[in-house]
Amino acid sequence: MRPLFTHEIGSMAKPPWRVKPFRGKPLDDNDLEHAREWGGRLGVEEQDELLELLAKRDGFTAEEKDRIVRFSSLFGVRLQERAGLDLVWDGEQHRVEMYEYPVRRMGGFAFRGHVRSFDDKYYRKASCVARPSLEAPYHTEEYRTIASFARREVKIPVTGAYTLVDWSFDEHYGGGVAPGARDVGQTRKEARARFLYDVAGDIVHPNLCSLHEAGARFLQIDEPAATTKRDEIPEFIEATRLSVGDLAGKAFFTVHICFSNYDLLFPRLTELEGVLDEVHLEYANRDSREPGVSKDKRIGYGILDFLKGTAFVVGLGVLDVHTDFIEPPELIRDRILFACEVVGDPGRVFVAPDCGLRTRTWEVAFAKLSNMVAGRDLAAERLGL
Amino acid sequence: MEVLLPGIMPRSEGLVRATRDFERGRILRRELEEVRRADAEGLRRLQDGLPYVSPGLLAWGDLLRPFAEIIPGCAVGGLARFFETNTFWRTLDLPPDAAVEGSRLDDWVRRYFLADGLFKKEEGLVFTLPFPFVFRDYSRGLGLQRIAEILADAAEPLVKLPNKVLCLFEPGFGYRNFSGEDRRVGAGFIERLKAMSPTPIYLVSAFFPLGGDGEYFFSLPADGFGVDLYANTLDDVLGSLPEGKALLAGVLSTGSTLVESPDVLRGVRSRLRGGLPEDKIHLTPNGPAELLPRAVLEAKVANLRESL
Repeated sequence: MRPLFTHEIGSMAKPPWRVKPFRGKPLDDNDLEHAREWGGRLGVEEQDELLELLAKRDGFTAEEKDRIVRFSSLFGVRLQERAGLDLVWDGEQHRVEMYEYPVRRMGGFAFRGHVRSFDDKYYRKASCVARPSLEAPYHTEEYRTIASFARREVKIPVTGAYTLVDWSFDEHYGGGVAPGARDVGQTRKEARARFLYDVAGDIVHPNLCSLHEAGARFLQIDEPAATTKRDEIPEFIEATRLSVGDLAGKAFFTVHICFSNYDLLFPRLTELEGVLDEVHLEYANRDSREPGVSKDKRIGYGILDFLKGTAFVVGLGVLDVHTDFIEPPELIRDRILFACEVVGDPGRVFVAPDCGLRTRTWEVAFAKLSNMVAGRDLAAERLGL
Repeated sequence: MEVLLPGIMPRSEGLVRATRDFERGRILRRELEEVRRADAEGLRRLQDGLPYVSPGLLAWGDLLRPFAEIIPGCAVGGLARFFETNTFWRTLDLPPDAAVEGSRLDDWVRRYFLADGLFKKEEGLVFTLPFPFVFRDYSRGLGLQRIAEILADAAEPLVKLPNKVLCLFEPGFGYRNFSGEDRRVGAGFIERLKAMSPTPIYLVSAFFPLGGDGEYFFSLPADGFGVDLYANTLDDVLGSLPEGKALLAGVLSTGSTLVESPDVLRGVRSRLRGGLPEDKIHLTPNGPAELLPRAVLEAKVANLRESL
């Protein structure tokens, strides 16, 4: 892998012609135009076949819906390739999102309703009602589909055990805890650890094994919740170790963490050297938008001081995913140069958005990703790479 | 002994859907407000007969966001994880001369605390505001003393209304290290509120094992203290609570959708009665109620009321 390798992190928005058929809503002219326009812009080779399929507009069969998903996956991959990324996937076109999709494919969970994530954004939250179980790996076919048409290396994100547990309620492991009872805190902690290790060993590890067996070599463990609870970093570390298990060294493992108190991760995270290869964090959300490579301009990148002495590749978030602001290439360049200066080795810096771009339109996401690659190129040029 | 629901309440599935529909241009603001009003009415029914009713704070983005509307020059910033949850607040960027604009307070109180007039100024209500520490954690630009002054200015019209209790929410106890100056400002803030009116002031923690900073917490001049009974044993709590103070006992778990049975709740209630006078006990969720889906909260509150 070349220095300043670029990749997307997670999700992208789904095109309207992907969404509406699953909601039972008819497609309109704008939806067809979206497919036509983006198919042309991205050079999608089977565009005519898609337009012919979408011309039905309503009443799609299950088989036709599967084809629509495959097309949106193809578009997602082509969008990332056209933006110039080195490592691609389809931006979650197969999945509802990163929590509900896997939870619906395992046993032991029941959905209980919506809770707020932020602003007016809500997610459907499940509760563990029995020991989690896996009937079949749930990302392997997705990988095979993407790999069948990707022109670059493919990465597959898998939601990590800690996040699956933290984003769920628990009625099974800790169900019998009574308020104010003796040892209530310790009882709760032990119950949660059992829940976590079961998900790591029985759910996440078999999925990673299946992906590896299918040929996937870039595996991203999404753990946005990793630092949620201040005293559970040891449990997060152990769950990650259990999740990767004997695959360590056989694939390139990234952990992605975002919008968190990263101070809590260090120094314990170094226990995962040799298990994980890349640690990707969100930085741009906390940074200034002024160009420059000084510390007072790059205020969002302070955590690099903790990472520079580790063996990890630094996954550098350079795009704020919660705003339509299109970061200029020069700003991205300066964020990268600052990181390279701190880390001391451009070969240990990979470039990515802060997180998934699903809340942005394709127009905005494509502009951001294209500028990210342009900024990377400027940084590489400045560094003589 | 009664149920008390501080903080932001969860939105119903209908309101979640309406909010999303509004954002995507499928319904008008008027239609969204109708759903929000119906939701607040549902909350009122849930609390029917309680001495202090929560208006729900259903229009709030988070516990700080409404302050952006009464502080000229205040900007709503990036996302930051709300303590140990999967909920994110937005930080407030405050100008150096930040101050509450008094002329905006009437509308602010009506909109954010009285649900656009659905709740009346005269009725028994529980209001919630952030304590200065958590406000500092999720804002930039001002020191703690100035934040405390802003919060006190904003709280003044609330505590001067009759028949209210004011809960000050602070999840930072046991989580942050507070300096001596911080502690002085925290105590001074409560004292200033108490000097304004006889409205009871309750300090509500969340996810806080008392071993962390319990001595300071209970030394503050509040009239009552909210404690998480899923992080603490009842014996420890009753042994630490200063005499004459009220206990907001966090008996409903916001971390589990398992609905506490009336029998379990009766057991806790009985133990509480053994250690405190009845009028000093309020039963509450152990953290922000909005961490639960609305239907689950309703089931929990129903069981809790049945247990009384």
